[in-house]
This record gives sequence, C-alpha cells and structure tokens, in this order.
Amino acid sequence: MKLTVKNLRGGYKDNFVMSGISLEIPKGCFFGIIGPNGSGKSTLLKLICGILQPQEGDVYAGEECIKDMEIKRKAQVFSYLPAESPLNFPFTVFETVLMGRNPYHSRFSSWGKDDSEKALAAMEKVEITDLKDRPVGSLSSGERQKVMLARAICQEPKVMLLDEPASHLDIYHQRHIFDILREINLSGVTVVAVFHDLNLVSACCEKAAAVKNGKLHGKPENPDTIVSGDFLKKLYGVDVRVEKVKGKTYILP
Amino acid sequence: MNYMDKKISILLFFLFSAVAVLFALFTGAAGWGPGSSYIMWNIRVPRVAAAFVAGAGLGASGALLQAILKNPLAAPYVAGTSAGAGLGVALAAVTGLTVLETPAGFAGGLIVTGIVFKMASYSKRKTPESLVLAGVVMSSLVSAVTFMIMVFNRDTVFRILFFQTGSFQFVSQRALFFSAVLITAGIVFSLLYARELDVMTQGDDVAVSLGVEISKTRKVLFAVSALMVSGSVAVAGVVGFVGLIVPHVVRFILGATHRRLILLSAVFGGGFLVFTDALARGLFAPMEIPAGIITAFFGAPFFLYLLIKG
Repeated sequence: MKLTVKNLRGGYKDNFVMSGISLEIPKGCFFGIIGPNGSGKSTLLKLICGILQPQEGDVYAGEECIKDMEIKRKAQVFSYLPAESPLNFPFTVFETVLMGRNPYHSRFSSWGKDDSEKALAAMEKVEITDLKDRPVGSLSSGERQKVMLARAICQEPKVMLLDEPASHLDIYHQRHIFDILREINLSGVTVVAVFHDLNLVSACCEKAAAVKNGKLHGKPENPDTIVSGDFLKKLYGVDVRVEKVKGKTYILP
Repeated sequence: MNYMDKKISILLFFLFSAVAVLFALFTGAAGWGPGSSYIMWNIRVPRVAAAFVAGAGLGASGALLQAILKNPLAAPYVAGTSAGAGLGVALAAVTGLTVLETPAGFAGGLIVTGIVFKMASYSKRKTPESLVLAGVVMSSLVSAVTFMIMVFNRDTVFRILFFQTGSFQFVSQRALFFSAVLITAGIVFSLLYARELDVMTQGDDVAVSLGVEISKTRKVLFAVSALMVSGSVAVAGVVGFVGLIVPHVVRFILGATHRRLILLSAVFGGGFLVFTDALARGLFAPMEIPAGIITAFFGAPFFLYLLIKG
C-alpha cells in the first residue's frame, strides 16, 4: 500500500516533536529511516501508523486518511515492531504470535481454526515452529525478535513498520530477519524501518530518508546518495570512510 | 505443558476448591449433634459462600489489575479501594450506624478509587505508574484518617480492626447476595476482554498497533476491578495477599492467557479463601482469628519466594 505523509507535525508533549514532515512511500517499497540518536526516527514511525496522534497534517494509507480509520482497521493495515518488547508475562510463542489476529476479531468472537493456521504459517516462515510452546521469556533476544516478527506477519499488514529490527542481534539472526523482510517485501508489503546500521540501509533499502532535530534532512533518496561521506558528515557530524563493494556502498566508521 | 496436562491442572484447581468447601463446612467449634443442621444452614453455608465470593472477586480482580498495570505483582488494593472501604466502615461504626457498615465500606472503596483515578488523570504522562503512585498516596492519607478515628473512638477499635484484617463475622445475607451478583457479573464482563488483556501486556505501543484502545479499555476494566474489590471488601473486610498470590499461582501453572487466568483465579481464589477462613475458625476454636491473618501467613513467605526467585 502506498503511504503519503502530508506536512505532519506531532510527537510527545514536550520533546521529540516532529514537524513539517512530508513523504511519499510507494507501494511495495523497502524504505529506511536514519538519523542520529534522539532525532525523532521512532517518533516518526509511531506517527505514521497512528500510535501517536499527529497535531497537524495527515497520513494517507492508499486513499484512506488514517485519522478516519477505526483502530482495528488501522491494525489490519499497519503492523508495528518495537525495538524491544516487555516480557513480564509468561505467554508462549504460539500465544504471542496468535495475538497478531486480534485486529480481525470482535470482543464476542473467539479464536478460530483459521487464526491458528495463520499463526503456525507465520511461525514456519521465520523458522520458530520448534519453539511453539516455549515461554517467550526463556528465549534468546534473536529468537524473541523472530517471535515478534512472526506476530507482525500473522497480522497480515499492508505496511510493516519496524524500529531497529535487528539492533541487538548477532550476524546470523540479523541476516535471517532481513532475508525474511526482503521476502515479505517482495510479496507486495510496504516495509518502513528505522536503522542504526547504515550498511543495512544500503544493503536492503530502495529509498531512505534522514531525520535530524525533528525534521527531514533533505529529501528521501536512494541509499547510494544517502550513504555518502558528505551527506553523513552533515547528518551525524563525523567523517566516515565510504567504500564500494560489488556496486553497493559500505561505511567504515 | 501439553494440552492434557493443562486439562488436568484445570481440573485440580476445581477439585481443590471443592475439597476446601467441604472441609470448611465440616470445620467448626460445634460438634455433630442436635442443632447441627441449624448451624450448617444458618451459619456455615452463608459463611463459606461469603468467603468463596470474596476470594473469587479478589482473585479475578487481581488477574485483571496485573494485566492493566502490566505488572504481575500488582494487587487489588493498589488503587486505594481497601483503604477507602476501611474508612467507610470506620465512619459507620463510630456514628452508630452499624447496619450501614457494609454499604459504607462499599461506597468508601469506590469513592477513594474514583479519586485515585481522577488524580492519575491529571498527571502529565498517563501511564499505569501514575495510577499506582496516586493509589499509594491516597491509601496512606485515607488510612491515616481511619486510624485517627480509631484513636478517638477506642470502644469500636476492635470491630474496625477485624474488618481491616479481613473477617466474615459481620456479614449480612443481603450484602452477600449483592456482592455475589456483582462479582459474577464482573467476572463474565472481564472474560469478554480476555483477548485485549493478553494484548495489553505486550506494551502500550504494540497494543495500539494490534487494535486495542488502551486508555478506554484500561478505564473500563479498572472500574470493573474496583467494583469487584469493593464487593469482596463488603463481605470479607480487607483480606490481603489473595489477589496477589492467586493469579500468580494460576499463571505459573497454566500460563498467562487471560481467558483461563481470570476464570481459574476466581475458582482458586474462592477455594483458597474458604480454606484459610476454615483454618481461621478451626485452629484456635472456639476463639476465632481474622482470615486475613492466615492469608498473610501464606502470602508473606510466598512473596519472599517470588523476590528471591526474581
């Protein structure tokens, strides 16, 4: 689904206020958001899917303005994966993934066969079927992130939003998660992800936007333009070395 | 735990409660003899029913509050309900309106909970933490007032004290019926929200992204839990620890899914309080101690265990 962000302003009450954000994210795009710590990347992500209410401006999912969408309808369009998830309650992997079906149920309906099948399929996709009955709290952070990804897949969104989906993960899990995201993206789901690791941006994204001090820093560009010495110097204030390997751009800090 | 084990565990919770009820019905100062059936039907049955209703209300509302506040260690009294009920009863007792004790306790609990919720809504960040903080503040303040009343009215101290540690000595049939209806309705109502409660434990942002209107749902369920707690307090006084331990045990054995958790916390909570009340009557018969003292003797070590286990 195509996303249009029009002159968006909003955020938390006192700080992290974003303003003047306008973006167009085409259907099926793998879109990255980068920027220094505290620049408002996560806030922007939450504004896009309506977790935070914008003070001004609008977001359109396709032709629909998200202000006019019911909360369940919104949840059928957007899934959101936070950087970390609280684990105070001993839900099993299966139960956690199944929660992704909540947007499709009213208070008076109960889980059906269809729901468990979709949950199982999502678990298979991220290869966690053998963890089905384990409490999520007993898993490693890589496995946990896969559980949350499976829940997002089970939600069958049109747009998937992710906040640093692989920030604490080892290279194996990182690779695996991005392979899965790539595959989901190729099936037509728009993916918008916040990144710290700029090499992942050039490896995965078709387009990326930079955020600084609550505003867009320049226009969204293809990763080769974003991941360049001059641009990054302005964005982060540090000199970095940029190398090309097999046509893709990589950063050496 | 596989499917079969779960079924057996559920059955064991029901069995425990059934055995507790039987045990309580045949425990007491009076032996078998003429007049036994009078004691059974007019004293023990209502009392066991009262303990079951109160325990069920505390168990279910504990499960509910722990999910709403996203904290498995929250107890039904965090919101000042018990302190408010205590003050209501104390006021009724010292003004000589002893017939109004139960309604006064019920009203006191709800009023203070309402104030706590209102206070929390003024905080800048509307998080569950602000609710807990407001609850702690109001509880201390209201308890201070209650103690002051007790200091100036020494003749009613004993009665108020019994109420504040949990006891079934003063329960009327009408109060019992009222609370039973209220608590049953509360349990059924919260079961409708079971799935949303599951989702709400996953953090606010995720809950919203999964289609749960968190602030509205939290408000509604908070009110439901306050009603259930007030209902319990009205028949049992302030019995500590049940609302904390019971959902914990059920969650530990059966997992966190709220549809099971709420229902079985009610069943097990009822059985548990019936059992402790039987001990309270039987241990030092014919002298009776408040049931809340027994639950505390179970609860404190249990809490310590949780603390050490992390």
